[in-house]
Amino acid sequence: MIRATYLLLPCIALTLACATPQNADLDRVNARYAEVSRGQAVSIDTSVDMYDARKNLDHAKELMDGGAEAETVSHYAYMAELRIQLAELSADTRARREEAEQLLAQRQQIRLEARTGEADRASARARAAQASAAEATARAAQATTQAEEEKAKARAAELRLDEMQQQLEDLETRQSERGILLTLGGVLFEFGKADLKPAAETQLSRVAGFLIANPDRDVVIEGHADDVGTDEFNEELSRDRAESVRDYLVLSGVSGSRIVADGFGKRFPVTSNETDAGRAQNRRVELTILDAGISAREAIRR
Amino acid sequence: MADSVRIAVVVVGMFVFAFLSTGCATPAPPAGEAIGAAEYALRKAKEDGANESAPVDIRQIEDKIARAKSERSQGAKATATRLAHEAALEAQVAEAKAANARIHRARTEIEKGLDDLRAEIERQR
Repeated sequence: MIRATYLLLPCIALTLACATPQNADLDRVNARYAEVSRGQAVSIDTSVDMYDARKNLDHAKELMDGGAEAETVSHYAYMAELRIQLAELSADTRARREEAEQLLAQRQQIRLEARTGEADRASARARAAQASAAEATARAAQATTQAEEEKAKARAAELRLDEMQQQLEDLETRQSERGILLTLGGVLFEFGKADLKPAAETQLSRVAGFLIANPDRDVVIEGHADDVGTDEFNEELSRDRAESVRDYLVLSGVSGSRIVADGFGKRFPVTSNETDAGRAQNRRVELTILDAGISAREAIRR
Repeated sequence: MADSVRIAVVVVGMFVFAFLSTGCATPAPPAGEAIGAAEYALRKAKEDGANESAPVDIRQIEDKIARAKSERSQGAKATATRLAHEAALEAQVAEAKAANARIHRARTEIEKGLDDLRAEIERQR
């Protein structure tokens, strides 16, 4: 009697299975959805793709229960599968981007420390050699730099008025013998710093898009400064600005091997440093999108 | 027994009718629109470098759009729309894959640069 019941059980199960509609694709994608939403990477609350995937899955179930063709049910299951994949990809892209940004911040910190360390060591050596004299010179130099920086700050305040108008003209392009030349004006950077302002990022994202669509073209990034401040400061600032632009492009997905960035301080002015307007024009980052076949490493100015 | 079967048939019939009539009441967007959207998504994916990173995927999407067009020309609008919807999403996935590959590459590059910088500073000490 008991044995007979055991024999009957699978039969009952089979009958039930036939009665409730089944779709292997839908089952598979439902399982995948559950798996992904259990993970940490993709939040169902915030991912539109996951939300849409859920809707597709529910719709597929409805259709299946309503007796729709397997092909139709599978179609919605497949749409959900693609959306889950999209959600996973964008979550991973976001996570890797954050990591990359943190690495860039680390690099900046290390450089800063290295520079400070270098300066410390240099002044220690100088002190050992000629204690009081060196110190006096250093103080004088610092005072000069400070005064110059004050002056520059005052000028920057004046210039800010023209900023809006200038930003419009900041992405001027022209054809040079090496390729397309774009100039990012100084107003696109934080004053005295290498950080890009949002307006610069808007313009650079267009440049990044162009470079991604044209993988055979390299880019040379050259930072330039005006003649205010010490040569050392200007060389460093112009190089840091060029590298900020480089980092932005790399983060946007342009391979670093296609980019060469360097700073040239005040060595290559485009106009006279006599006037404010002239100096504003000289503070700039020049991007040259090279013609196909010219490599960035060959093309950089020395 | 016979009565309950009859009732069941009527109920099912009503459901099917309700389902079909709502299907007719909301006209499906024309297949042409879906195909246009798929073509646009494909173009965007290609511009974003998916042609280089996933040439096979791109090829399959192109084939699917072609199939959608041929279905539409034979009057199979529902199938055409379905194929076009799939192709559009597949193109988005291809584009997301390309972007993902790029950021992975960038991250590796930046990490290597950082290691090089650390080594250089070590040497100078």
